[in-house]
Amino acid sequence: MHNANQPHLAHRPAVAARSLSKVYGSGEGTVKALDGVDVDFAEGQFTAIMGPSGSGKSTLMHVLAGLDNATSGSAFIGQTEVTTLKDNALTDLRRHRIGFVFQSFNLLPMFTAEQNILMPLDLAGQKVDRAWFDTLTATLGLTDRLSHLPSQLSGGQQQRVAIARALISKPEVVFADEPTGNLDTRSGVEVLSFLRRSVRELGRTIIMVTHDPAAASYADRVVLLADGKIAGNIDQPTPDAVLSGLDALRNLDDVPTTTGSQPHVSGEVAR
Amino acid sequence: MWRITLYQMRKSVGRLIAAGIAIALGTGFVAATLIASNALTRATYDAATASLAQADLVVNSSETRFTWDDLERAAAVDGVAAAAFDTPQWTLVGNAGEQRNVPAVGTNIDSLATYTITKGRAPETVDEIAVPQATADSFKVGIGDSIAVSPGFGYDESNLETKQIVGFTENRNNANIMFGQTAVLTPESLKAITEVDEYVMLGSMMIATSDNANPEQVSEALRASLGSVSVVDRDQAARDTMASLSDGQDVFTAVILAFAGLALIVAALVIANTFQVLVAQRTRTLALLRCTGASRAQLRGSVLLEGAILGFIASVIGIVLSAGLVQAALVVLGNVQDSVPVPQMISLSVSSIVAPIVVGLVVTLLSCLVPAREATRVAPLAALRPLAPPSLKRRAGKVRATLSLLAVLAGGGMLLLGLVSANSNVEIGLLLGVAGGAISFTGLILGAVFWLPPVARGMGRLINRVGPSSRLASANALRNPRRTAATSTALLIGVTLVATMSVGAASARATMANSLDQTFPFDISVTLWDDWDGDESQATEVMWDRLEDLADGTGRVKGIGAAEPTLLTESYVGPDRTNNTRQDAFIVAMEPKAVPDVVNGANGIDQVAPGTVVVSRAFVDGISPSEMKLRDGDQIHLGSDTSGPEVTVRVVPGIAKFMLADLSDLQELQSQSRGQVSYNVIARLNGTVNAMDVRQAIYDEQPAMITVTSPAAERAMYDTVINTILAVIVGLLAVAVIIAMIGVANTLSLSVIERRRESATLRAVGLSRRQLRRMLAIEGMFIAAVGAIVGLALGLIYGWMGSSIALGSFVDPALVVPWRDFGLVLLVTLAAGLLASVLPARGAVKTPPVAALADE
Repeated sequence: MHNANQPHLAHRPAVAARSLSKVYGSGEGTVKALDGVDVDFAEGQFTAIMGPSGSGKSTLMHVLAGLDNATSGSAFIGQTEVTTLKDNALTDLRRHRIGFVFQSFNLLPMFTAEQNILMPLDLAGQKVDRAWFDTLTATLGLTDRLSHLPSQLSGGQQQRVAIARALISKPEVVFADEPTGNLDTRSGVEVLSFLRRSVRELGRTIIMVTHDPAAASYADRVVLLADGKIAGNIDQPTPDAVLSGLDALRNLDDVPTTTGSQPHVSGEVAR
Repeated sequence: MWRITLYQMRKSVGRLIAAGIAIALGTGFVAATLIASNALTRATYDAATASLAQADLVVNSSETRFTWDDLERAAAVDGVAAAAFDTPQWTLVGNAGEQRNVPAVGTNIDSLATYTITKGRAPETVDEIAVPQATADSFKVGIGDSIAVSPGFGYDESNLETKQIVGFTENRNNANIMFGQTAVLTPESLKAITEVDEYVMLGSMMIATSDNANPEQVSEALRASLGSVSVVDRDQAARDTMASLSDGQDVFTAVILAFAGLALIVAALVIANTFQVLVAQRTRTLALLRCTGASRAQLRGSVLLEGAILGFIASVIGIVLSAGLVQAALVVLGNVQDSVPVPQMISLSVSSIVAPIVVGLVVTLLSCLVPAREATRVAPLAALRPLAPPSLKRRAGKVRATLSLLAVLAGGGMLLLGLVSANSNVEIGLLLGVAGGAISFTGLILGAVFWLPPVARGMGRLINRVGPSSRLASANALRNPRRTAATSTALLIGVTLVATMSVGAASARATMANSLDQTFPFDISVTLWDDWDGDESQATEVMWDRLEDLADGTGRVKGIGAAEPTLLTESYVGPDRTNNTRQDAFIVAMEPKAVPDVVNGANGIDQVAPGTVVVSRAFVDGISPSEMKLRDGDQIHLGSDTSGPEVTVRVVPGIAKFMLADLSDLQELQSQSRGQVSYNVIARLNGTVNAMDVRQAIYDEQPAMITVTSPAAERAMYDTVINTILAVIVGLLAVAVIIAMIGVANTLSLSVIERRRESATLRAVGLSRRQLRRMLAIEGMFIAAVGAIVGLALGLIYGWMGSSIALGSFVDPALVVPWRDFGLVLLVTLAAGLLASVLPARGAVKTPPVAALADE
């Protein structure tokens, strides 16, 4: 855990959680989805959150992004504590500082690719930065597809449109929830490559939830989650390293009696 | 399946209630129409038959006029309990020094009484009389005192009879409103007073049959005894009266019937629309049942059974509600206005209960058929896949396209044909027009799927500029064009009908005004009795001077706008080709430039000259048999034989049912044979003054030898009836719009449910709650506006076509846009669309954006 808690010295944290807890239900049916999570996500990095089903990785992302409220603790985007914001401030945050990429793309079927990409600006009533739009669409290879409706695009193309939509307002951080979950391998690779390029070449910060080790290996860093707690951290991950990290978690699940000696997968795992 | 059906109904009770409300409103609408039209018919009949009291039978003379002998013969017929004339007789009431003209009726039988006794009792012997309280007051006498009564024309000392006042009277339900408050005498004493002049009666006979008499047999016996007469019951007499009022057509019944039909169509469409939404929402459950072994027939049966249960319950609720509502309306109406007699209780006929239930059931079942079939068509496996959003590409059938196109073309053709033929025959034109309008509108509705989406798309482009919420809203409204078309259509029907009515209402009022002008060409007529007993050769001159004095005096009475001395004779002879047959007709003469001031609906006044008379086309049309019809240029003689002055006939377009002659011609006739011409002052009332008061004032002002009749009072009553009916119709049509709004709310909630994830996505990419609410509000208003604007446009076209057909033969119809009504309709529909979005929006706003990320 200690590594996960340590701020990356090279980068200021773009997103952070402090003692973040989320409890569903009450009484006997209580489920602790997040249990005192402390984590920093560095600016200009591509971070993957991984963990077995029910580990709370999606909940962590929702709370960090202000899509869901926390039971206790705080989540920060930059200097803003999102856990205390009201709906209008959250909307504002989502408009200007956060972008989302969804597993099922969630494009609006009645609008063209271009209209979909520009939707956040449209909603915020902002001017379009044409140069940025052209850069994005060129990088994503969407220049020829802008007038198409989502139904006329392949899954990979739809997801690239969704990525462009997430990036159009130049947000501080982009949250991606299983962005390759509905894509075939080739399209998935395409999308992941682009996510990595957008971090390296366009200077974005991306936090991605995934359960696919191959997808996670595109990230600069993997944060492992189990039972609502941070369970490990892998820097510069490879698929194998991620797999073994996950295996370690699974063993932990199988042998709950070994609490206290949580396996620690360090970032030194060879790439 | 019965159990499963009930279980399903319990599970989706919320949605069923929404559908049930629409059904209940629809059937309630039908029921209210039927019940209210019963009440309306009753009210109009009662108004029309007020002067017929509660007579069982009404005898009309087709050719001759009735005499007192006729009345006695009728009274003697087997099974007749009593007989009386429906028209009061003029009497002079007062004392030796001063008398006043008072109309009197001669019956003390309650069922023939056109009056109520406010104090005391009705006369029982020839020595007794009941008088209006005002009459008694003006002579400062009361019950128990004596008063003198004599015939209403030619005061004659020797004919004076003294009677004892036994009661005060008041006219019942505005009966005999034209004559004023009536005195009451026994039949014998009325006859004794008025028979002296062998006076003949213009009106009808009222017959009360004895308790166990068979009306059919009595009618037969009356016909046998009286010769050429028609005998009808009171309702038929009412229908005849209403029909004669509306120029030979039973406009009122037709309007009400047509309206009930329209109500059915609107209700059917709304119910169908709602239930389709309901069943569409359950498609998946139904297919799931298929997976577990339900057969197609069972599923269809289950859906239909559910429809039947829902349809029945909702229909019953609708009927109960509407009956209560109409009853409440009657109570309120009865309390606030007394010019039209309003029935105290609604009369529920079997048809007014059974018809709405049947309609509710049949329509619900019919509208279930299509969704039920669609549900059973789904492969069981498909039920297990996530519910796909409704396909955007579904094509409506070619059959529908062909049918609707045919209907529009055929209906449009009939409308045009109606327009053309209306010039020669209004009835055929109207028939063609109404049928054509109904057919083409049905075609438009059928084809709404094809033409409404493009129209809506065009309108959507207009609001796209406003902002992101509007852009989203119009895109959302247009993504399922079929559903939006169906929703807008329901609204479209209501709005089109309201708009048509509001355009047509102005024309209808004009039409009614025309027929009222025809029936009541003047407001008040004061008749001056010719009692000059001096030198015969001076009579005409003396009487004319007196008449001018009377006109001056009348003109000074408060409430009178203009008064004009008028000569009147009641027959002409000729032309030659008719063997100089005598024809009854009102022939009036007055100063030409004064005609428009006091007479309604007279045309061609400038063509009147010495030796030339003017008649209207309607006057000529009214002459029967057809070989007697006058032609332009005919030579006729005024008066009762060929010795009268010869004049040339000019026929002009118009509605007047009288002949306009020059004063000099009638004066000549009068000097030839005195008594053929009567002296009248014809006057017009000032605006909305009470005709009864004015008449009293004229009596108070003038010497005794006049009688005053005021059709204005009666006309005002019919005006009230017409306005009430039009208001009720427009009001009921507004209910159709409200029902349609439920459809809009339904469509909105359905699309909100379908778009749960999309709304959440939008929220995630920066749509604020307020924007989401605004988006749904605009979507609701957009759907409403499409229906409203298209409906207003259609209504304008239909309304104009209708008025052109109905009025084209009389005048050039003024095609006006009733902006105020249109603005109101648009405003109301927009507000309703906004309102319809409130509930769905609440649900949508509550959904947290997390939902967008959750995979189902």
